Amino acid sequence: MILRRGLPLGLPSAKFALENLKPRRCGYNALPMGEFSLAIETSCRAGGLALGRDDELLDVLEFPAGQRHATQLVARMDDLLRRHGLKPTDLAEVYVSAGPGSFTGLRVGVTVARTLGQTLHVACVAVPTIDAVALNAQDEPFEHLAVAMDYKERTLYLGLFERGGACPSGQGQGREIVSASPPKLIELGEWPAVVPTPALLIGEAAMFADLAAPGITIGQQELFMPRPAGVWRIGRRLVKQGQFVDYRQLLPLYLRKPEAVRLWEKQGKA
Amino acid sequence: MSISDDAIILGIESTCDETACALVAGGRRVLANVVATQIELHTRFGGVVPEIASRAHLEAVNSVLEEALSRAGVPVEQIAAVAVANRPGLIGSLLIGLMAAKTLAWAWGKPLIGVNHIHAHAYSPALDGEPIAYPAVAMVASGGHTSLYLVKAPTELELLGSTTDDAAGEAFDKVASILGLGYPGGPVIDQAARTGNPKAVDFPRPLLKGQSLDFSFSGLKTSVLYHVRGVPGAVREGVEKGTKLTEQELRDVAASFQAALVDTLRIKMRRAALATGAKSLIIGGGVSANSALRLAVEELGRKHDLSVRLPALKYCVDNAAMTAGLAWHLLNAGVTDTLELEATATVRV
Repeated sequence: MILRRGLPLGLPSAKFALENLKPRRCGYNALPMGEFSLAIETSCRAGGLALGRDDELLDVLEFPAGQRHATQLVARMDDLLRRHGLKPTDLAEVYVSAGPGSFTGLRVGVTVARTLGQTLHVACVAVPTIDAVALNAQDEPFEHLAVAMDYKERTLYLGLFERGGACPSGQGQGREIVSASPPKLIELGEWPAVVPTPALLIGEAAMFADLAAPGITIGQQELFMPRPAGVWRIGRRLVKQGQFVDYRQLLPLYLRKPEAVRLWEKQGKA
Repeated sequence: MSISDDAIILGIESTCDETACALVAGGRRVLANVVATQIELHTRFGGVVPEIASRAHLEAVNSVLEEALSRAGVPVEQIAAVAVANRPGLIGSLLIGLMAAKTLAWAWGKPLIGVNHIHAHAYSPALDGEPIAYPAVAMVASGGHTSLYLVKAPTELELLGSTTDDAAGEAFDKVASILGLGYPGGPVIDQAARTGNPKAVDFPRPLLKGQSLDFSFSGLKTSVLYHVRGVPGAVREGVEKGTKLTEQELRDVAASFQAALVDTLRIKMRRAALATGAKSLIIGGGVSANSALRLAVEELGRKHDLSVRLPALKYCVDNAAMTAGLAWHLLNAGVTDTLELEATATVRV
């Protein structure tokens, strides 16, 4: 999956007011790439970090709810690496939870990931936050899984998942959760007709919209939010599929145009 | 902590609608100054839309950084610190520059320095020039701020007065909108005023009584509105509701408004300079690009034998060179910040 490019505004890009702009070789040196991977989850009020090496998840740092990501994020990244005797240059990959989610939180995480990609030449992976939330249901019994997020103005972002691949343990819960259909923004009126039943429903939209319906079981609230370990696991999966994103193209998944643009269009000024 | 005279600071600015990065050696020698402006994104809305600004900063920040490093041709090892304007400004905009700066400081193992954006404007005339003679009276006026300072040293500023309502640049934008001249208001009013009569309309000069060093521009803006469209609920002699101004009348209103605003700024600066015994007069911020204001401050300096320091036009707009320049003095004084540095939307000083 390649992250859709943000700012779908139909607006011109920021224009550079440069004098004598001439392309030149960049003045800073590429630093050597490391071998560790870092996952950043700042799309919700809690969030956190996960550190891995190859396919091994080494450590997880979960942030307390309500933490100001802009204040804490880089300092906690420093803490996490230091407690493993690592330096920033030991990082090879960064997996960032790319949305949907908190407008500010996403931009905090994505700015850090982009800048790591730029300065340390770390490979960037944009993790769809909805996939990380779906992973929370790994140990839950379900036939169909619905993840509903970002409820706003009577629309919500809905993803449908199922268990796929081999069943190593012989138990349904042991199989990997995979997407059954691409997530999309739907009108509240379309719910629940678009969901095959019986289904387990998770995701923070269930806290804000009345999504109770026959055949749909609403999961425990602790399954609603993305976890850093889930972001890291999805990140690893995407790495194996070669789904890296150039840091310059790495942007949050914006589901809606800016409010001012929507109002403008509503008034027929577009 | 004493640093080398030529120490290079990388600065980042994203307080409003400009994404900027600069490298400055020794606090004054600008090696690269890159500014990505968002004006085109905001023009149709008649002002900066914070959500659009926040999104655009994220898209631009790394390209701007890349371009500044490329233009300066400076290896990372030679960069002494990373500075960022972390206050005041639009919070969603500030956070992008802050996060980029923190990540750079962490990845490169450099000190991080948070800089007050308004103080940086007060320092901007020193860029590419000689050191400023202190103490100085500095007036920083832009779309978001109008503040008057006694500056004892680059990092030692005492607030003498500030606006109680609209900022000076905001008044320019609103009056330009009333006159149908477009956005941003500063350059279009300045242009229209060149061929207008500044004495055509006697607009009020607010808060000039007593010794106040504060400003108020909302009444001036309202006076322009009433002059152009008539007073609501009243019939004013000579102004018929709905009457359109002629081109010349429009230029006269622009010139008269500008004269009232510039008079107010000039008189407050004079008052502050005489009260403090300042050696220099400084202006900074977007409004400092206004040609009438620059002439008025130069004249004030001549009259009172004060050194006048005006920023180059490219340093009147928001830029990161002033951030990096001021940060050199902070670093020299041993002032650095931790990776938990916050962005702050409003500050009093």
